[in-house]
Amino acid sequence: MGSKRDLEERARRALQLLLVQRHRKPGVKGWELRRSIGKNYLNILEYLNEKLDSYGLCIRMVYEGEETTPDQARFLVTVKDSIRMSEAISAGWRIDELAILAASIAYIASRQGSISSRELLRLLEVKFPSWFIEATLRRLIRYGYLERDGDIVKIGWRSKAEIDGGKLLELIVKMDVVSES
Amino acid sequence: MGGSKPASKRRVATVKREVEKLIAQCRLTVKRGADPFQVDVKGSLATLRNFIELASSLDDIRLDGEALYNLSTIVESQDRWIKFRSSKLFVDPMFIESRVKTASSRMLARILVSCWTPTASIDTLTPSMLDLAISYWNRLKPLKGRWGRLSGSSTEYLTLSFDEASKLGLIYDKGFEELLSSIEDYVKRLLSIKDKVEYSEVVRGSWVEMVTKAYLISFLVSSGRLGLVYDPSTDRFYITSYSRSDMPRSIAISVGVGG
Repeated sequence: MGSKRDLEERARRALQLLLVQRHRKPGVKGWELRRSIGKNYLNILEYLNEKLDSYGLCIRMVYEGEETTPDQARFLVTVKDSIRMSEAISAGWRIDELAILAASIAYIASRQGSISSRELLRLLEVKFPSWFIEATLRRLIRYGYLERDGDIVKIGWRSKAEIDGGKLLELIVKMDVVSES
Repeated sequence: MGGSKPASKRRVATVKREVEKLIAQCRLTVKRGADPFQVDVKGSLATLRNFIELASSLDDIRLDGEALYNLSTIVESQDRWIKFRSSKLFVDPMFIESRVKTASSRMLARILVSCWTPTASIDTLTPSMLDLAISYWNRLKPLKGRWGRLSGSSTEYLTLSFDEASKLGLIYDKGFEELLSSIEDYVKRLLSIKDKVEYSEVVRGSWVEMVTKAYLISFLVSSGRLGLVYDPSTDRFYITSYSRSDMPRSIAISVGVGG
């Protein structure tokens, strides 16, 4: 791989690629990293990940569809620990939108990752007006948190990267509804 | 023997329909992530065996192959289903549904945020975007030139009272349905005397009154409470009673001050 300086230089270039949003989607594909920083890009990302750790960030690899190799996967930088509610709100999210995302992901995950949009609407309509649900789902699909394939709604690539589905289900199962409400 | 051929053809057609239905069912089950054990694999294989024995064309064999492939995807789904149900991640969807229904939005949002690690990214300004911005800036006329049409150098903000706004015709002091009914009654009174009333006669008044009446009449005509006809010989519009035989179409009428 060369000298330490070379490694630093490649890691710096990789970080730029990962952070600078050039398309609608954040992050970068594995093959783009390979082209820019060489075939050892996974080692360089590992080195960079260690460096980012001290700043509370980490690199994640996510498969958007049926891909199986790192070259086809998307790499992005996420915060390492969960954020606070106030931070989510100041980032432009409404509590109702976050609730819809939580409910959708939990329900879809419990159904092996895909359900019909009608079923999802039926669940959400108990709590929210349909115009609000539709607007929020459109937004979540646009951002990649959910995916729509005809009548089917799936968990999107972004949720796979950013949300710990197992923990979400666990917390929903364990939540103390009575004391909360 | 002569009657057995059509009967056999009918049988092939029936089995073929069953096979096609099976393919559709398999695809839908896999796509929707529904319970794959709802598909009777053993029974379906028996149907396919029956179908292949009766198959007479290449298309039938192709259909049989397609059905067999779709059945294999169901078996694969059944395998995944069992693994998923026995995994630590499995939670009964009904249970999740009931939890989601009983929890408050705030609680759900708080749970999501506690397992959410958002993406970090930078929205950047590229040299080509800067170039575009500079050329836009250079072509942009001074503000004075662009706002030259507006008189006065500053903008003052005034507050209108309800009465003032009502006098200016910016708000109505009556409900919309009340306004509609009043103009409808007025037009109907005129229509009780003659078959049709000239449009310009009805909307006549000050500018605000005329626009308001024109708007209300367009609403009444669109909702089928009144009719509107055009007389090409006089180039005038007439309001009539609504007739079901009227062909719905869009009409644009220009109104000027004084009708």
